[in-house]
Amino acid sequence: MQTPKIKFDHVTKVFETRSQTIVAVKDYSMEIQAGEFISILGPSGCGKSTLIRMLDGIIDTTEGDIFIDGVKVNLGGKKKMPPEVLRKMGFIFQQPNMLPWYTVRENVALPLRVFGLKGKEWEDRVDELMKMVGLEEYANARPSEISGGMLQRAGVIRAMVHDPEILLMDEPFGALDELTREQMNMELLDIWQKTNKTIIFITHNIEEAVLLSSRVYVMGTNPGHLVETVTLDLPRPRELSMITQSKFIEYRQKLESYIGEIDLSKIK
Amino acid sequence: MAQSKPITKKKKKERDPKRVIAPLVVLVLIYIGLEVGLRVFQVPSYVLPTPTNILIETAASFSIILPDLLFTLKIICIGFCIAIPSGILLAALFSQFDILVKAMQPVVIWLVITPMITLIPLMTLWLGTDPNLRVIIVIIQATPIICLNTLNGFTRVEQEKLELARSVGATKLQTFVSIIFMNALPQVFTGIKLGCIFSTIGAVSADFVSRGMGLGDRIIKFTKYSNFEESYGCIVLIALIGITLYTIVELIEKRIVLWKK
Amino acid sequence: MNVKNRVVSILAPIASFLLIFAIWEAACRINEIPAWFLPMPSEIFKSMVVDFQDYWPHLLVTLQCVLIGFLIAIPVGLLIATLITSFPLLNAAMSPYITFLVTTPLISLIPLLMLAMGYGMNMRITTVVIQSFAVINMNACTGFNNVPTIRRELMQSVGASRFQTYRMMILPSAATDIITGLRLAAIFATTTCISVEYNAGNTGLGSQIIKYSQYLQTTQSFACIFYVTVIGLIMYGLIALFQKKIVSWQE
Repeated sequence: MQTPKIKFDHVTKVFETRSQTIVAVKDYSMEIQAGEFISILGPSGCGKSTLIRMLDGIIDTTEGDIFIDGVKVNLGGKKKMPPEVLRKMGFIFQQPNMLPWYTVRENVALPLRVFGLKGKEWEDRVDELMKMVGLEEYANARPSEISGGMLQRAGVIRAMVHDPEILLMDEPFGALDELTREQMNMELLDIWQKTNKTIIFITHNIEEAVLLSSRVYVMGTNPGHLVETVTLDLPRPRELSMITQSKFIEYRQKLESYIGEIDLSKIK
Repeated sequence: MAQSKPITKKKKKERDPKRVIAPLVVLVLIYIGLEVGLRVFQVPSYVLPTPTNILIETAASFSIILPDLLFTLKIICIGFCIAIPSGILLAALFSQFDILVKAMQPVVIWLVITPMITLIPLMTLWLGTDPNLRVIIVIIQATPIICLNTLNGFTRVEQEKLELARSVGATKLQTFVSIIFMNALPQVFTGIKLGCIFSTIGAVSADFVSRGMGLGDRIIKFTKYSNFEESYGCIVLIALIGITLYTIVELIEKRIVLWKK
Repeated sequence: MNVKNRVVSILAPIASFLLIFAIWEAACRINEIPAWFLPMPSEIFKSMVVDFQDYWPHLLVTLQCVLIGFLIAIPVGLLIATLITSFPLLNAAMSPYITFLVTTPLISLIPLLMLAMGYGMNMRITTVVIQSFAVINMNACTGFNNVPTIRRELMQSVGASRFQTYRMMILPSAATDIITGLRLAAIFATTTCISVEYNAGNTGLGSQIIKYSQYLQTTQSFACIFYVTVIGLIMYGLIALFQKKIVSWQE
C-alpha cells in the first residue's frame, strides 16, 4: 500500500470564544493519493475551509494529526509549519487576494520572493505561467486595472509558481459569474491533467464537484463532520457536455440527497 | 473563510476581559513604576513629581483649581458645541453646488493648515479682554476641521445611491438627509472627534496667551511658583476633559453609525 | 468636459480667494478701518515682501522646528504602532492610552518643558514631537489592526517571516491610514510650534505675532500669520508628493 499524499487522522478543530465553544470540524479523517483531484462539498459553515487552512498551517489543529507524504505536519500550538512543507502546497483563495501595490507579475511571483527562489529558471516559470493563462500582456498592470476573471487566473498561477505538489482551492471561482466559472473549471482540469498535481477543491456547488473530481467528500454542519464519501466513476477527460449524461445526473441527485439531509437536520 | 470569519468577528464584538484588565494592569504598573523609579533615582519634582504627590497636592489645592477647571470646561464645551453645527452647516451649504465645493474646499484647507490660534493675540485687539471670548478661539480652531471632513463625506457619495434616490422620486432635501448625510456620517464623526482635540488645544493656547484664567493659565502660575505637583495635576485634568469629550462623541457614534464595523 | 472640469477646479478656488481678499480690502477702505485694527490685504502682502528681511529668520526658525519635529514624530509614531500591534496582549493593554495621548493637549506641558529644557530649539522640537507623534501612532495602529484577514492568510500560506509580512503586506495595507495620520500630524506640528513660540523666547513666527500685536503693528502680525500658512502649504505639499510617489496604487 502506497503512503497517501495527504492524510487527515481524526482531526478536530475547536474555536473558543468567551461565551461559546464552536466545534468547526469534528473527528475528520481522509486519505488522498498523489495526483488525485478530490472535492470537499458542503454548505457554508461546515468547516470545509477550516480543513484546508489547517493543512496549510494557517490554523492549528485542536486534536488529531495531519500527514503529508507520511510526515506529520501539524506541530501543535503556535509552531510554524516549516517552509519545506509549505512549499509543497499552493493556496488559492476565494477572492483573487492580490496585493494592490504590486504589479500582476510581482503578485504572481510573491511566493518565489518569500521562499527565496531566485534565478532564471524561476523567472522563466513565472512568464510561462502568465502566458499559459493569457496574462502576459498584463504583467506590469496593477491588479485594479484588470478584470475579476483575469485576477483569479493570476491567483491560480500564484499558487503554482513555486511548483507545489498540492493545490488547495477554497471555492476559487465562487465569486465569478457562471460563464467565466465554467471556463475556469475546464482550464483547471486542463492544468491538472498536464501537471499531475494533487488537488483539494472546496465548493458548495454540486455540479462543479461532480464535473471536476474523482471523489467527493460531503460535509455537514453543527459540528462540521464528514457525512459521506462518494467515488465518481466518470471517464476522463471530463467535458462540460457530460452534465446532461444520466450517470452524471445520478451522482448529482445522490449528492443532493446528502446535502438535503444536512439542511433538514440544520432546521431542527 | 466561511468558517473562520464569523468567529473572528464575534471575538471582536464581545468585550474580551483582556481588553479591560490589561489596560488597568498597565495603569497600575505605570503608577508603581513611576512612584518607585522617581524615588529611587531621586528625580527632582520639576522634571516629574511622583504620582502620589501629584494626587495629594492637587487634591489639597483643588479649591484653587476648581474655578479654572470649570472655566476651561465651559469654554471648551460651549465652543465645541457651536463648532459642530457650524462646521456641518457650512459643509452642507457648500455641498449644494458643485462649483461652491470646488471654490471653497481649498479655502477650508487654508483655514485648517493655518492654525487659528495665530489669531489669539489679535482677538484682544478686536474684542477686548473678556476671558469668555476665548470661546471664539475654540470655535474658529475647531470649525474648519469639522467642515473639511464633513465636506469630504458629502462629496463622496456613490453614484448608484443618488440614482436610487432619483428613481424613487426623492426631493432634494430627502436625498440630502437620507442619503448624502447618512452616508457621510462616519466622516462627520471623524471630523467631530478631531474638532474635540482641536478645541482643547485651542482653549489651552488661548489661556497661555491671554492669561488671567483657565487651566492653561493655572499651569503657568503653578510652574512659576514651583508647585509642579499641581501643574501636573492640571495637565491630568485637561487630559480628562479631552478624553471625556472624545469618549462621549465615540459613544454617540456607536449608537448612530451602526453599520460601521 | 474633463478639461472644462479641470479648468473650473483650478479657477474656482482662485476666484474665491480673490473674492475673499477683495471684500476684505473693500471693507477696510470703505469703512476706513484703521490698520492697527484690521489691515488691508494689499498692505499685508506688501509687508510680506518689503519686510521680508525681518520675517525670514523667524520663518526659518518655525519651519525648522515644525519640519524636524514632524520628521522625528513619523518614525517614533510608526515604531510604537508597529510594536504595539505586533503583540495582541500589548495591543489590548495599550489601545485606550493611544486615544488618551491623542486627546490630551500635550501643549499643556509647555511651561514645565520650558523649565526643564530652556527656551531653545530642543524644547520646541520636543513639544512638537510629543504632540504630533500620537496621532500618527493612532492612525497607524488603526491601519495595522484593520489589515484584511485574507491577506494575512496569504502571507502565512507561503510561510512569510514576521518581517517579510510587515514589509510586503502590513505596511502597504496601512498606507492610506498612515497618510491620514501624517496630514493631521502636520497640522498638529504647526499648531504646537506656534503655541510654543507664544510662550518661549522671542524667535519664531509665533513670538513675532505676539510682539507685533502688542505694538499694534497688526499688518506685520498678519504678515507673520500668512507666513504660517506658507509653512502649512509646504507641509501639505510634501505629504501630497510623498503620497503620489509612494502610495500610487488604488485599493
